[in-house]
Amino acid sequence: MTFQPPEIDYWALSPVIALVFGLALTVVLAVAGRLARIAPAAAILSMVVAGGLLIGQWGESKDVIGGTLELDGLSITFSLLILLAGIVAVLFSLGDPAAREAGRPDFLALLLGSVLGMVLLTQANNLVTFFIALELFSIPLYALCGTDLRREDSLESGLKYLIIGSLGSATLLFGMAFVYGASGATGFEQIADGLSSSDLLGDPIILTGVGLVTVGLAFKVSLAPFHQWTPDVYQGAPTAVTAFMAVATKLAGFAVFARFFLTALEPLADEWDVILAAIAAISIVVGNLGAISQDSLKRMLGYSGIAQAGYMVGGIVVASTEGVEALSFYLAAYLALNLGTFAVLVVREQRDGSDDSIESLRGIGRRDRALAWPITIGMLGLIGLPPTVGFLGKLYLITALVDGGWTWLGILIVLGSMASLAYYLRVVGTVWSGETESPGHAPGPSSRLLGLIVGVGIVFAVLSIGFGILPDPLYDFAAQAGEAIGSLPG
Amino acid sequence: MVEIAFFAGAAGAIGGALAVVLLKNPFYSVLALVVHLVFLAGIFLLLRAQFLAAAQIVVYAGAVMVIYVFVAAYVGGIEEPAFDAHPRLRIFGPIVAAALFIEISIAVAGSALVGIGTEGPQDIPDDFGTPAAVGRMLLDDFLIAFEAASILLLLAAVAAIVLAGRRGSQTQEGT
Amino acid sequence: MSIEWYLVLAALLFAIGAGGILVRRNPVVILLCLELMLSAGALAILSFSRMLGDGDGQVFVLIVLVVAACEVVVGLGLVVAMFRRRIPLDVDETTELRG
Repeated sequence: MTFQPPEIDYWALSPVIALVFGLALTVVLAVAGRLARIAPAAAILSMVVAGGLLIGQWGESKDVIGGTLELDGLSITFSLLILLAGIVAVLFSLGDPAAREAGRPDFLALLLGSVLGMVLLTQANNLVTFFIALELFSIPLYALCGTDLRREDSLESGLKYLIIGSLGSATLLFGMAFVYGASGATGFEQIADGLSSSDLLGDPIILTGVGLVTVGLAFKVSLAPFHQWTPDVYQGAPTAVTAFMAVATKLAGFAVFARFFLTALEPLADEWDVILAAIAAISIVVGNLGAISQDSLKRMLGYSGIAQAGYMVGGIVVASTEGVEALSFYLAAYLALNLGTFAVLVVREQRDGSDDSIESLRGIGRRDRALAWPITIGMLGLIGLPPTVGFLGKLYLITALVDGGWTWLGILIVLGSMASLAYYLRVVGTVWSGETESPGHAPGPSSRLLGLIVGVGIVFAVLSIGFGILPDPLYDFAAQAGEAIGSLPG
Repeated sequence: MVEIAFFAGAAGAIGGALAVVLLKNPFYSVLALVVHLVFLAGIFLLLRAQFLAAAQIVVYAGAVMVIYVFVAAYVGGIEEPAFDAHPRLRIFGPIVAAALFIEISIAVAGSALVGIGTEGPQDIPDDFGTPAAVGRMLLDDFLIAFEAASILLLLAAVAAIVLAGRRGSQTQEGT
Repeated sequence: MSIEWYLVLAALLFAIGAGGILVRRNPVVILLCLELMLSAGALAILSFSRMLGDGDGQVFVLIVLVVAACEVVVGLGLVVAMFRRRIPLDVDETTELRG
């Protein structure tokens, strides 16, 4: 029988190919003896190349392979942010004993694999690619959480993440089955056609399917009430991995959340927007309340991440172009603020051997300005205070919500941000008060590497303020994402 | 005839599943899952998914369960009474499960979806479910999923080596 | 047998798996219950695939088999690593992480 190969747009596929090359190279380097030391450079290079190839296709919108992947503004913007997070994660991991112990090329291969899965997920336009890309990014991440083999809680966090993450995947899968059955297709656009052309809009089958898909995705981006794993896993995983997870899983998760709900499930927007709004509200409350009593910075960031995810869902609830733009803007801001904060954490851990308690930051304001300022700006930005970019991000989200008729959710975001003063300011206060003891000395990373990471922190801090004052480039960036979800009101 | 096959397969699958959850010795649970998978493959055959039934047996009941058996043997069966979980969960767990089952069944029963009450179209092509049909789609429509799956398998192997490989003798790791 | 029967069977298996995850403490058994849930999802997809006469579902299920296998590999890898370090294999006992 004859066989027709699919239409492959190789130029559109090239970023993915670059990442695959990098991945293959790092895997090979694992057995290459002394050559293995170039693995980090190889990993970073492949991500940079992939990023460049994506930028080279800026503004285009095309199908990559037979309708299963779609390269458009949404995927390009989110993928660029994911690649940035990946590159920073590699830098953070260079001095991390976990990565060394795990075998550096292996660690990097897992990280690259996760990045590849995330990039594919931002482009997924079909249930099958949605599922495989989701798993491709999750499974290496479960392993990465557990790579600090000497620490009990690292392995436990990996197992916990795997069990709960897979529970989410299984639920998502069952939901996808029902969506497939109700709409008759696996491609997102065909699903929308199938749903709108039938009389099934209120049918229990499709509602159950959407409900289960929502639950599954909520597990993955740590939305309440499916958030139980987040603080524990964030605390147990190696810090470089936590930094990557906190930012990139949300980027990838929300990209597909937006694409699936606003393309495939768009005919049902009136059914699911209330559910998502409720989840957003619960997440904002639970996340903010949970963060207040935490003494561990990583756990606090875990809980606050739940609240932040709640704010971000607002961008999807509105089901408008403005909502998607606000979401992308906010995620970009979130990346800068979070990675700046984590840079400080990483340096403290690798250079000074401190643990991740908030107390350990006491007095840095006096001894170590280069660390104190990035974390202060990060905290202020996450609260959403001007002149940081966090303020503009929240403003954008709230505006989109009000324009879309969801004013109550906008108010809730404001209230949540006010509540978050309690814990974010506590960190700032600790940093700028008191005396710090002389730092312990952790063997390992060279001062050049640490200087580089401090530099990363400073760069993100500067960007957070810079974009807070001159946001136009970031607005244009976010607008790209919004355009991709074409046919929406607003 | 089909009814008998269905109920036999369903009974075996449900029985196997219950055994996985209820048996005390984890080793027996592993074996129970094998039984469940075999009966489930039978159900797949009833749905005209012959390639998948065979793949399920070979890959899943064959290869994956062998890994389970090895690990279960290595780790040692930690005998635990089936209902010795945290007392809240002991009640909460089955309630959640029952609620899920009832909710989904009601959704299925109450659905107006055309075709759900039928046996499916009788005029589907003869090669539905054959390896050729599935293979063609893997290389055509779903090429990227196929490739991504192979990368995932590679990464799973790398992860397994990272997590469980012996490090003692590897002095020249090149890190 | 109409498709409804297959879907109800899938729902039952899914529920049994979910209940098992909540009730059992041994990580190996919990991983088995995850497999139950994934195969229940596969059964649901195949039922719809038969109902629609559409082959996409079958490819989907093949991918699900691959994913399930990979999850098992990593999960068991973590279990073995934990066992080697004498960490108690009981998910209710993983109190290291309780905040």
